[in-house]
Amino acid sequence: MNERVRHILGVVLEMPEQQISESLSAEDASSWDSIHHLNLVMALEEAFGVSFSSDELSRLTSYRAIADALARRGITA
Amino acid sequence: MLESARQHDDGPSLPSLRWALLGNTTLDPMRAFLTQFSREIGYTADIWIGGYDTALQDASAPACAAADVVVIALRLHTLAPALVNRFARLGADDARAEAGRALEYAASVAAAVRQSSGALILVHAFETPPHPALGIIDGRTRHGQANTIRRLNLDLAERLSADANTFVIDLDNVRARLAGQRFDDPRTWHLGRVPYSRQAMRAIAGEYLRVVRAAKGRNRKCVVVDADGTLWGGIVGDDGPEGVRVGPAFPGSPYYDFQEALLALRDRGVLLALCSKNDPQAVADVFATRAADMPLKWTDFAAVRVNWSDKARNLREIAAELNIGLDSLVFVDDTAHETALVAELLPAVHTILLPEDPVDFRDALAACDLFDTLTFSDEDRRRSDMYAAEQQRKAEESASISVEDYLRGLNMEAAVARVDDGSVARVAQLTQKTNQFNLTTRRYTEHDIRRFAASPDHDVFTIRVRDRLGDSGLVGVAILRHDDAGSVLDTFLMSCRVLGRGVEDALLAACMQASVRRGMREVIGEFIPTAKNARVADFYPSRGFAADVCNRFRRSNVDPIAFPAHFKSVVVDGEQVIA
Repeated sequence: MNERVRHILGVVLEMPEQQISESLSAEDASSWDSIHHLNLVMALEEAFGVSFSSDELSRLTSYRAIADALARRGITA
Repeated sequence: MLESARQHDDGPSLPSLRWALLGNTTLDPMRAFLTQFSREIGYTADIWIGGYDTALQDASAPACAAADVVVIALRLHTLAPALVNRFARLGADDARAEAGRALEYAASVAAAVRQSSGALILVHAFETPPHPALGIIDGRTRHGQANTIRRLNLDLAERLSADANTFVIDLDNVRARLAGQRFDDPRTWHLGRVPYSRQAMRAIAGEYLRVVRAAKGRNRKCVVVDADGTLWGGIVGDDGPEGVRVGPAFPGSPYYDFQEALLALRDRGVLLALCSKNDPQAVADVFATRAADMPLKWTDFAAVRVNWSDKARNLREIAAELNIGLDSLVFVDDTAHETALVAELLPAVHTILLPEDPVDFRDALAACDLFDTLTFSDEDRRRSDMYAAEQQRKAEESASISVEDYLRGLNMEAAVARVDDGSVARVAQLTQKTNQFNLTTRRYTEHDIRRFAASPDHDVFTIRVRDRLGDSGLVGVAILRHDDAGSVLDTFLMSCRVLGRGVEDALLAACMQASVRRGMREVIGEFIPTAKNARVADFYPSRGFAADVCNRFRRSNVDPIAFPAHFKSVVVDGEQVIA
């Protein structure tokens, strides 16, 4: 699991990091609402120096989707 | 950097700073930045955010009444979309009417907040479009889109300026300073009505904090500059006074410009000091022989340390000489070694390491944003001159016979008066900025001072002083609250530049006189210790006040305090008490 992504998820979603696994998604994290989603995506963009399209950004609603989007930009860990 | 919104990081000892945000966009992402920046100046942010596009309804919410800072962040995209999206279709009358409605709404929200709240109110100005609707002809007349919005902003600023604690946040200016970085974020706007990028929100929150810092007295009062490589290019010890680079033409012009920027700060009331590792004569020679090439004069500096001691020691001496704290200093040097040493030994001093290229000096100084004040008065314009007069006084003091003779020889004149429209800004500013001779360190806004002045139970006194060496202006404030127990000195403070001349005794005597005339039995002084006001811990006891519980001191009105005899004249409320 990408530890930087895990850390950002923890801070933005206000969750203990040990509760964050590779299977985490917006559906099972109550704090992952639409506002936190925007905060999360903006924090990821800033931390990794990347930019997502609006369409892509709207679908980054799980750890897996985030890791895949970063991997497409050559960021794996 | 990732700002954390978690609360448990905050130390329990930090006082809270209550924010209320109203607007017609999604403001929640501002939380993280406000939390972080508030903590950086010593506060735990307590943030309340109103509903989406319910600013007018939210303005009367209890959270606004209780807030320290209320932000009104309205955007034309929601408030007056016709001005933004289909401007070219509007006739001149329609455009004016739309703008008028937007103005009324924004001003009404601010007025409604003020009804119930003494908070600082920060109002976003409306953004002008980077691509105006009418293209190249948009700017030709006042009826173009950009000019219509500019005029709306001017009208808004004028309306809001009636309230002394309302400030405009100029988003166009923030955008300009972010030069090249993304300001709007259309993705987050479309997905969730968050209009601005993270860096834009960080910069906007930074603008809010500038106002808060000024209101809380956290701003800097003095900039201390190095000489070689800072005020001029080259090294005077090697190149000689004629050889250093400074003057109106390149390569001296960047240094010339930087000196002008320092003088502009001096015009705003910021003190300048010089601290250089050098032969004092060599530095003085540059000021003497290159005077035509330099805007700065030797006498522009309120304090000078040119010697071979380390700069930390010199900065301590400069702070002591100017009667200000180390946390009031900004230190500017072109040598990393010096700024690092000061940052290490004196962390309270804000250090600026100048960039490599002198053409960038000016911006490096301007970008620190640490010299803001909430008001700007004639006292600010003249402060540096008054310090110069004080240096003259000190020089004479060391030569004259006794302190008493010296004081008599100054021909001091004092006037104690009640606060009025002309002085309220200065009074509020003194409560916000005075740290050392301040018995209670209660910070008040203009709004608070006006409330005291209007209250029948309070007296707000000011004291102005002048002598044969100069006019010191309004230098002291006392706020008296009269209740059953007696007259309580809620606030008693004095600008440090007049200490040692009996001005505090004249003000105290005037307070006692006022208490006697109200038929009160006694005057009660309070002393609230802080990290900076230890020098006045002994003030009330040394004036014959008896210690009571809880840092309170009492003195009976049976035996009032006399006005100090060395004044040539003292006038209280227009009545001559010493002539």
